[in-house]
Amino acid sequence: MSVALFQTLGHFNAWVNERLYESCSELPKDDYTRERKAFFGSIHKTLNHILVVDQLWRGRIEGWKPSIKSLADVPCENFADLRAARETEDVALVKLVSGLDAGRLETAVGYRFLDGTPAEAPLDLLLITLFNHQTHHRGQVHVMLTQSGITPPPLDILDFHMDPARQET
Amino acid sequence: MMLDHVRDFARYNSWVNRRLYAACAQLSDEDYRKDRKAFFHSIHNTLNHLLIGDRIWLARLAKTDHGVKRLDEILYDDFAALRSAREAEDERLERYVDGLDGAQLASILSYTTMAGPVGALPVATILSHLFNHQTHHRGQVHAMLTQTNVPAPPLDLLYYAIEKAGQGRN
Repeated sequence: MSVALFQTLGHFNAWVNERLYESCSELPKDDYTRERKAFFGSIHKTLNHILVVDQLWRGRIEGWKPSIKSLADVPCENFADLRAARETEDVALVKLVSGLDAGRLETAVGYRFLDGTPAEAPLDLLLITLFNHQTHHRGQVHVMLTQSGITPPPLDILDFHMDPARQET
Repeated sequence: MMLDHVRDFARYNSWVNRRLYAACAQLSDEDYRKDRKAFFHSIHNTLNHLLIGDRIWLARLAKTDHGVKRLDEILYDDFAALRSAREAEDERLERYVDGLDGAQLASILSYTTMAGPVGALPVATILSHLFNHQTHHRGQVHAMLTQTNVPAPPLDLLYYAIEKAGQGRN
């Protein structure tokens, strides 16, 4: 898989999360934390879940272990903290993909699932899983937002490429 | 390399659509069509929209007329017909990416947008948009499914890769 693809996805990811979080910031707190029967319950918990999984994967790729016990962990109790952590994570993800080369993408990364079971997969598979996983859960958050009466701006890769304000990759 | 990626992703796409449709097949007609205030309202309308998006892009890539008038058009009002069309579209997408070479993937495609103006993007960018667009709306359908009594299946790419590799580990 090409290094350029991941570098674009890294920048897209930061751009689209900023868009989504901006829409979430317009929500009254009740709507933000309301249980809506999404897989991870609420907008708040789903956004936390995305962050948790990104940190799990980035830790596995970079060789450190975040203090995460469960995929349903809520490391940030309030929106402002979560938003700041999301921005920090997206900067770290852009940095990770900026340092890639083609050889490294094909290397196998050994890791453990949360239950301790060892596994191994090529780095490019883990990264595409990470970015695809984000889009999946952003789609869930999008439904919960429109159910709250807020329609976020388009979250498509196409709009990222068309946005004159985006960061160049 | 990028060609391998789009070919793998097309196969994941077929696999994950089969999973999602198998879950949707268990819904009552009422739950399937209920307006749940998603961007395209219901599970039925969102699945139709996904098929429309793919048809538009595959037609542009093949330089044929997609014939779509609106992004919220209902191509198939019947679930069984929509499911067959989805399977056919996914096979078509697999065949399309299998026939690509590196030069075509890097080439710039000019197209007319639904609103009229002409756009131009590398084929690789268009495919990455198409796949991401699918995942986004499948995420919406997933959120609507968990609001029903039908279990929503895991749709992660890693599950597909593990199943393909035959490791059988979640």
